[in-house]
Amino acid sequence: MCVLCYELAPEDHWSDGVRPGEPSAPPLRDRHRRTRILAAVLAPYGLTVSDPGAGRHLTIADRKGAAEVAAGLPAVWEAAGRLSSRPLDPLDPVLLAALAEAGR
Amino acid sequence: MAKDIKCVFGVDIDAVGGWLGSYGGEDSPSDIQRGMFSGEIGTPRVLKLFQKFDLPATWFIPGHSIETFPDSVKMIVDAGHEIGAHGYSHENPIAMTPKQEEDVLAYCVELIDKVSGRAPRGYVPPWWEMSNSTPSLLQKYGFTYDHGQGLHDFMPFYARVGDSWTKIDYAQEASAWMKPLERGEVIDLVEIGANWYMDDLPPMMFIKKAPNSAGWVNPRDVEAWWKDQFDWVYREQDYGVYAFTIHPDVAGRPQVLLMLERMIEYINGHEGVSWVTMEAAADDFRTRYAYPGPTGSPFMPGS
Ligand SMILES: [Zn+2]
Repeated sequence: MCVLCYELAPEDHWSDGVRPGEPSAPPLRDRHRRTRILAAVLAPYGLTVSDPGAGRHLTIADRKGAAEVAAGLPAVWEAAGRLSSRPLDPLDPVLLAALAEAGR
Repeated sequence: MAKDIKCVFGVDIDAVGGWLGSYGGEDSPSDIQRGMFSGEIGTPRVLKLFQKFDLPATWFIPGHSIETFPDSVKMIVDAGHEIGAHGYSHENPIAMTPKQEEDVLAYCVELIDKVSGRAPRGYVPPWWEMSNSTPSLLQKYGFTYDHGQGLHDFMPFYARVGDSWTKIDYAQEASAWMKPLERGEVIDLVEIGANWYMDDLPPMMFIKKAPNSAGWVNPRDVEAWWKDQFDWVYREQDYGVYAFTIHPDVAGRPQVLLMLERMIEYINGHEGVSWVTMEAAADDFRTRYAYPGPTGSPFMPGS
């Protein structure tokens, strides 16, 4: 729980993986990289992500005006599942193709 | 030079289409009912306001609203107001394929022609977003003006399309993104500037699915912003177009109707103001500043 916002939001999720960023990289650098990959992963589901750059919150939105604020990756995946009306399956071929594209 | 401030009411009946296309209400019976309120209750109230002050207005009506609220649309046509296009279900133009966008526009032009006896001349892109295909589609379907670009506020201008800019990509060298914006081409389409600060919806419509939705701004505060903008335009400009963008979803509510009455009375207390349709404002601008060609300035000299 965050003592400032009283929010119960687990941060860790296996999808955060092992960060390949250089050890001396500025902290925001990994964050931008993660947001960029998230954008590529969410695009095939018709969703967008925007990052205010501070706090742990990201905004996940569809293209019809619905949006959710999500803190941490577990919340991101849950919000994406609700907004796209289908659970995000890590083995979905469409998703894997998007990941391959983003990893290039 | 005599003052000539043209005042315009642009009214978008977003209604159910707005909840389907833009406000995240597709699964909410409550939101859909608010859309029904806009078309069936809010629209006649706003019409009555215009009748009270004998004002012309321009109604940008999504195809969904034309087909769902034929009686309200007939009242608008019978009152002699102008009708413009505004998508079918308030789709985001940049989310559609070019074919989807053309199918939507062509059908809406047909609907407006059918209910009003005249094809629309004016367009408001839902979300105020023009796609890459929007300008050529508008020209193909005979539109002469648009109310969607934000390059200027209270002075009309010609639309410019194809501006390009470089996003920051922190994975690249800085030199990859240190590039200025490149201006595109000016096209023969008059713009009555889109201006969020003249729009009633973001401050005064509660949207459940938008995390930053307010919707609880006191109309008296909105009235103060609008009066300040009018006062500045009236002091600084001899000519200008002061255009409201309102929605019966919001403007059809008592607290906003009363505020609009006060606004109209305030504006009417000034010399040299007139109320016109958006088409009249756009046509008048063409006589002041003819289309300058693709590389000309979108702005009239001195503006
Ligand atoms: Zn609208």
